[in-house]
Amino acid sequence: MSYPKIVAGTLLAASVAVGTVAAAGAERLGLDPGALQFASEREYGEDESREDEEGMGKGPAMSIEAVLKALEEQGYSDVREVEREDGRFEVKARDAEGRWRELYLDGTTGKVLESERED
Amino acid sequence: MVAHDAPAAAERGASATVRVWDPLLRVLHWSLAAAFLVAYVTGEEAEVLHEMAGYAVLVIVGVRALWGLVGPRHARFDDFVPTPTGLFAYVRGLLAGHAPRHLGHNPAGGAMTIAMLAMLVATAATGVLTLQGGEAFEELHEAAANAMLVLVIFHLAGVVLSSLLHGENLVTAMLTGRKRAPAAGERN
Repeated sequence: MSYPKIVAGTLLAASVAVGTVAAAGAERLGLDPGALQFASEREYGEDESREDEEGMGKGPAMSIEAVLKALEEQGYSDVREVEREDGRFEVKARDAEGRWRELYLDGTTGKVLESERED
Repeated sequence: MVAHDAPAAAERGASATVRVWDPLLRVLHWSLAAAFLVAYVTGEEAEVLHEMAGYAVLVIVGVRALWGLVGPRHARFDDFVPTPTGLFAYVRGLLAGHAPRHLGHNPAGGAMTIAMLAMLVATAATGVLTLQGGEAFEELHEAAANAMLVLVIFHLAGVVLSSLLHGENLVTAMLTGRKRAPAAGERN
């Protein structure tokens, strides 16, 4: 095989590989509204996005304290188990009526996206 | 052209030019240029458009690479990917003021083509990674996009220089696919 053919083959393989990763990722993002929100965080206000960037690449965009505060503001209490997954937070907490809930929060705003009853 | 050649050239008519760039190659070239331009301009704004332009770049580069294996003569990478020796010899000649005309890509143009295609894949790859939550890749993505812009500027400079050196319009050639037929002794 000639050396230019190897160059062409490498470029072809690389573009197919990147396309495959992109397609796999798009599928995952499509099933995950929190992550989509995370990807479009540039839409947030200037101060907010600057705050987000400080935590970027090192861990959560929001601090745990900020998550707790956001939950309190939305009427939840007794927060247990805060986990970060795919740009979202997964937490266990009591709602205003005192029932245990499994919550999924937007990773940058702390807004509750999904709430499931936890038995 | 010397006087006694004139009737012969007139007789040949359209055959005084030859087809160099096939239609698919030209469509790929201009759509790739457009996709990169859209992606670059929308880098900070429209996310959907930016992503679509990025995916278009990826598809076009992939098809171009495949065409580089199976396409017609001047589309094939075998026709224009230079060896380092060939590239340096050409650049030395260029600096000394005598760069031979090539019907397809000259060695510097061929090297630039590969550099741009590779940089586009790198830009798309870091873009995809940024999108998938790897914010650490965002700066790398921007650096790759800016490096690509620099390559485009050098590419345009090369097109202008080469056009002037050989008295032909290479932009028109990429639109029509035709270039002046090689004179005797000219490489093609």
